[in-house]
Amino acid sequence: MKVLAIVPAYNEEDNIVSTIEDLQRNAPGVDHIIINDGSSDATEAICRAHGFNIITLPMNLGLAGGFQTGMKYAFQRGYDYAVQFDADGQHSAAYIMPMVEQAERDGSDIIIGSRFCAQKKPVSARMAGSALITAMIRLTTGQKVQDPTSGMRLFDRDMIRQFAHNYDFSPEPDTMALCIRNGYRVSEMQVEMRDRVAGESYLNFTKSVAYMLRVCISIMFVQWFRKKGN
Amino acid sequence: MYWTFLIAGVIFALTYVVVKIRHHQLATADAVFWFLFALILIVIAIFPQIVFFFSNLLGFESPANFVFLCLLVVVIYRQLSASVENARLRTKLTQLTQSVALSQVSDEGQGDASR
Repeated sequence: MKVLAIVPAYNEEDNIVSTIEDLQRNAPGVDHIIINDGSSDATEAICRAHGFNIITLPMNLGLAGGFQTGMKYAFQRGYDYAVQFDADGQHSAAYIMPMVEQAERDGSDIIIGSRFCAQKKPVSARMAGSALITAMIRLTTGQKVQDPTSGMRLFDRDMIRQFAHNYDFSPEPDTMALCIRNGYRVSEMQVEMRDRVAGESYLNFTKSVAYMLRVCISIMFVQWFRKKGN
Repeated sequence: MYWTFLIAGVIFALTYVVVKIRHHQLATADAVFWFLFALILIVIAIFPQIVFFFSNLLGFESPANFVFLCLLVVVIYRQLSASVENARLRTKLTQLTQSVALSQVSDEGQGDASR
C-alpha cells in the first residue's frame, strides 16, 4: 500500500527539516513530497541538501493550489492514500499509519486528524470559530465534525482523484462539507498536535475573520449550487 | 446640463480606449464593447428625446435617474463578467504553474517515490 504525505511549505526553512525527519522516523514506508510554494527563503536549498523529495512551484499559488499539486503528483503515481501534513511541525507523523489503518477498517474516504474527538475544545476565539463551523456543517449535512479546521487529513484514492481534477476543491472545511453531502464517508480520529515550533502562523486576526466569513458563506450558501464532481 | 458631462465623459472614455489600444493594453474584442458604449452615449446626448420617451414610458421621476440606472446595469454586468473571466484566468494560471512544476519532477526522473 502506497501512502504519500503532502507537505505544502511556504518559507518554512526553520521547521521543514524536523518535519521531514519526523516523517522518516515515525512513519517509515510513508513517502513524502514537499510542495515548495514559491518560498523566498532557503526552504528549497535546505530540502535539496537533505535529499528530500520536493516540487517547486514557479510562483506562489497559495495552500489550495499547492496542495492540489501534491494531489496530482499522488494521482499520477498511483498512491492509495495521501495525507495533508503541515510543514510547521504541528502534526505528528506517528498518527499517519493509524489513520490509514482506520480508513482500511471502516472504508472512510476522508479521515480528519481531530484534536477534539475524545477531548473537549478549549475556550478561545479560535475555538469559537471552529465550533461555529462545526455547527454549520451539522446543520447542512447532519454530521458532527468535531475539528473541521484541522489541517491533518487523510484522503483515499478516490478523493485523491477528485482533489487532483475538480474545480475549487481546496483542503478546507467547506470542501469537507461538500464531500459529506455528496455521500462520501468522512470520519475523525483523535490526534495530538503540537504548537508551532518556529515562525509565524499564517492567520492573523483580520485574515481569520475573512477566513471564517468565506468558509461560513461557502458552507451555508455556495455549496448548494455546486455541481457534483466526477 | 448633464448632457455636457455625458459628452465630456464619452470623449474621455474614447480617448482612454484609443490610448490603451495603441499601447497594446486592450484587446480589439474588448474595445468593441467600449466603442458601442460610447456610441450609445453620443446618440442619447444628441437626441435626448429618446431618453425622455423611455423615462416617461417607464414612469421615472427624472430622465437622469433613468440614465444612471441604465449605466449602473451595464457597469454591474461588466463587473460580473470580469469576475468570471478573472476566475477562469486564475484557474488556467494555477493549472499551468502546476504542470510546469510537475513536469520538472518527472524530468529529473525521481525514482525515489518507492523509497
